[in-house]
Amino acid sequence: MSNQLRVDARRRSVTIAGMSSVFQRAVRERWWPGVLASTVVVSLVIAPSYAAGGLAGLAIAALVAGFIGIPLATLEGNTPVPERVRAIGPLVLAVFAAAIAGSELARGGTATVLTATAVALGIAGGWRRRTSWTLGFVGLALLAGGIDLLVDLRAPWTLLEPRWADWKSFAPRSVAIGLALGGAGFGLWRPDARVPGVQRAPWLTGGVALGALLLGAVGAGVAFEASTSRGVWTGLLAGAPALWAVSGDKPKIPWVFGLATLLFWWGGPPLVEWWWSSLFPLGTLVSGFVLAANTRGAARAVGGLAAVLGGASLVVGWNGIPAAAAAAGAVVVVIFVAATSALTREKRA
Amino acid sequence: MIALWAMLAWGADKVVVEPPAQIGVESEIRVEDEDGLPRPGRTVRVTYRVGLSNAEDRAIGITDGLGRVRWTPEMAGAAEVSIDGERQPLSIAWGAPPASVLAILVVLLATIVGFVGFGLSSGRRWAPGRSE
Repeated sequence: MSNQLRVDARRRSVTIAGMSSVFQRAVRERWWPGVLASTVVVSLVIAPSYAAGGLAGLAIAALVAGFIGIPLATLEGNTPVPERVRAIGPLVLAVFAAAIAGSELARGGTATVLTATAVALGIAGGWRRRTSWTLGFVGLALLAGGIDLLVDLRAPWTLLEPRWADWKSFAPRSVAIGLALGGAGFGLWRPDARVPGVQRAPWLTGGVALGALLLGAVGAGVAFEASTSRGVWTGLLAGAPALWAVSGDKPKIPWVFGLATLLFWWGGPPLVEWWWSSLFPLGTLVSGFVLAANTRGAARAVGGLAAVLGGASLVVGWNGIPAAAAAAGAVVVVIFVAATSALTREKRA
Repeated sequence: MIALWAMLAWGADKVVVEPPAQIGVESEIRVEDEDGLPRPGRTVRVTYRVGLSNAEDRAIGITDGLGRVRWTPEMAGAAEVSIDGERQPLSIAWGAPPASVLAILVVLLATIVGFVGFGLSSGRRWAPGRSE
């Protein structure tokens, strides 16, 4: 073997060893299944409506994420302040985003506020993740989705074609998505989270979440072209990791969001509107109340503020029980689960 | 040459589009009953991009004595054809992938790779005083 070949082989082995150590560390440590699952789930929850602007909405979200959401999440993570105080950051972002949305876009503003509030609750609550089961469910969901789409595979261009003219209908939610992307892996900023390149972790979760959104957009585009449904099983499997990701040992605050994710996939379009106008505010109200009732100091303030925001949004945005049976059933289940969660949750300091 | 037929059926009527609809290429729409007999005098319309913000409804024409009407699709993608108000989905083939979608896809993919790559690269750890 020539010297050059030896050098090349050594470089290659060093490179492979370096990559291998990253993966070994990822496998050995427990942070990644939960982070990945919750990132994908959050992406599903906050997915924009592609019917309004196609990929234009996602492009705006990526822009906001790259220049505002993720840098601010990084700054927040690096600021040496008490952990509970850091939870206020996303609320400030939410107010900022609502101001961008403007008063005539009240619904988009509400969605923006509540999305960021959910991020705040996740951070304040310090979600714990379960096991690599979560990743298994995500894999199953992707597999089921892929099988669904392969039945009648067509190019997804119609739905994805960017339509900028109708920007008022999709820009507010895109801004919310951009802000949420940096915090997509809720709890990632906790000091005990061990992640490669910890300081840049918001970029990692932002990238993964954006990738999940793009995959979802392509899937929706293919389904739209073929006039097929996304599939009940896909929805169930996609929602399952939500439950696992947010129902760790403690706290259980936001797992209502996970169940709601599952059900909103099941309930279909009627439930999507209901999600934003009623379920999400309701979940925020309950979670915020529980957080405020069981914590002290800044976390209690954040919980209280979230509860007030959720309650106000619920009053403003309430549009009755949906007419579709599946959606109505899903609403009842979510309300029941939310109440049960609030009443049975363990008290913690 | 093997003729390609796209057949859509509902109720008693069938719609045959030959050749299959493609943007900028003239096709013949034929309306038949369940026995294959032509249905003259039917009003045919098409709605491009149904359910999207840029949906457009256009009249194609009225079928002749042989149940036919000629049509050149102006927009590609998912559409609906309606015969006297009865609607049926129709797919209009794209001549080529739209450049606007491809451009955004490329930018988004590059952004994703950039975010993930930067996130995986090792930076400074958390600020002093905060455990890893």
